[in-house]
Amino acid sequence: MQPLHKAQELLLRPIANTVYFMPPYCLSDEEAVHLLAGTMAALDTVEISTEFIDVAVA
Amino acid sequence: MKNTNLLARSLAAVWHPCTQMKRHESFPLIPIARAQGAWLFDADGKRYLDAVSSWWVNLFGHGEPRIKAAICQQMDSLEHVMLAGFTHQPVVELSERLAALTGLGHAFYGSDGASAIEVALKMSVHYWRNLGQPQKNRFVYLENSYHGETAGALSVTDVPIFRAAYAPLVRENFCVMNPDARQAEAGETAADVAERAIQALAATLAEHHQDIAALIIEPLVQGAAGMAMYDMSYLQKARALCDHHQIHLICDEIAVGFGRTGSMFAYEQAKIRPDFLCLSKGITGGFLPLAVVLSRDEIYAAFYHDDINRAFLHSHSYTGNPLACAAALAVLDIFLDDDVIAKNADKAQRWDVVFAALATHPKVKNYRHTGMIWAFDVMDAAPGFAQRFFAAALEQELLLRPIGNTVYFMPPYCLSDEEAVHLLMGTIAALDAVENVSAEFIDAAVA
Repeated sequence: MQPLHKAQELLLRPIANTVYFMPPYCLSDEEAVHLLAGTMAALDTVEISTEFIDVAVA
Repeated sequence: MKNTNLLARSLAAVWHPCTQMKRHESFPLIPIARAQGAWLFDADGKRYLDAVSSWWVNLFGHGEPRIKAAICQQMDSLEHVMLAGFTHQPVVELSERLAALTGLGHAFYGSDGASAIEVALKMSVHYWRNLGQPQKNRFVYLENSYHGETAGALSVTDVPIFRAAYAPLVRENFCVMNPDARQAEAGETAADVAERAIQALAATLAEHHQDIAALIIEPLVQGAAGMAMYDMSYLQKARALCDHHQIHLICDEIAVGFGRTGSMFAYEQAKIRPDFLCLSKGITGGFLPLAVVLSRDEIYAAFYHDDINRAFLHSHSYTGNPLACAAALAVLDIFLDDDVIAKNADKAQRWDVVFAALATHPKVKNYRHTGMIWAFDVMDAAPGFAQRFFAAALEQELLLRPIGNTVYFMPPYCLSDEEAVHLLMGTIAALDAVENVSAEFIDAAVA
């Protein structure tokens, strides 16, 4: 479960299979849309990797 | 804001560290409004010479403009980012420079001294686990040692007042004789005491080395023990014993690092190298909390693997904080630009002449000096001496905080010769003024 920030301009760090948003309170509505769209794109493109077996860490 | 107002609000809202709060019914807090150089100023304009460098953190005096500027400049680009998965210029540069100074190749960051100790203890045990020796999970520590007050650090700390209440939380380890030179018997030198302590260490290691991960020590000076100074031969022989028995040597230089004992790091004087080096306190010149554990490349390599269970998953929210790293880089620059180690040697020589009057004072025994630390013990001090002397020193515009009956100076390196004389005169006046009556409080020796 590699961080997905590079392709969609997002820093998201799933905990195991949980993806979460905990944005700064200054996030604009436009940035929230960027967050949504990028998350969807990442969900569509992420490949199941067997290279590393990860444990759930924040 | 009048001082009295702030005092009442502080007592109502703040739980102060290392303090029985009820004592502030009779000993007022000191509200500090600003600080410059070696001096603290309260809101009513009284001043105090900070002769303990604000719990040993302040290297170059308060308000050092180059450290201030470095932090301000860093704030313009990046105040903080998480260090897992990310990196930044100040943390890389600081890690490279610390590695160059110590030969210890990888830097792991924490927030204060105790967090560095926790990191080093966990890393040592995890190293042995990764090498297939999980039974090597206990530690050896010295009598009267202090390494911090978190649960792991307390398990290698021999200060009952800090430890007793939490005994159910604290794991038992192996406590061995320390090399404190004050234990010398008639005809014994400091080196003889160190040799006795080494024999005690050798016996413990011979019997238990299969179960021991590391020996942890404060090189040259045990700070919270009351500035217990010892012969450097102890470090050399302890290093050899650790090598012989395959045990890590953790050097806790949180208090004694960054020039405090006369060399950049105390272990250098013994011409040894630790497996882990814990640094904090002076690392940012007293501006921001930061700690680091430096480790040998071989230790880092034992964690480097496809298996995440072999990784060091420890983390702190502010690990490698860019502002703190920028302050630390400024500190390293100052050491170079001002030739601090060499200048300090000259200052220490001059001030030792100034302070020598204490060595022959009728109330004083065990006057001792290592680098930029001076200490002496007060004879026949009644219980409560530390608190009464602290109060008497304030009257002399001095911040001094004895540990038990040990009065010590750990001044910022910017102290002038005039300020050193002020420190001496005030200390003698406080010694004369402090009444040797039993206090209303029985004190334990705390820094």
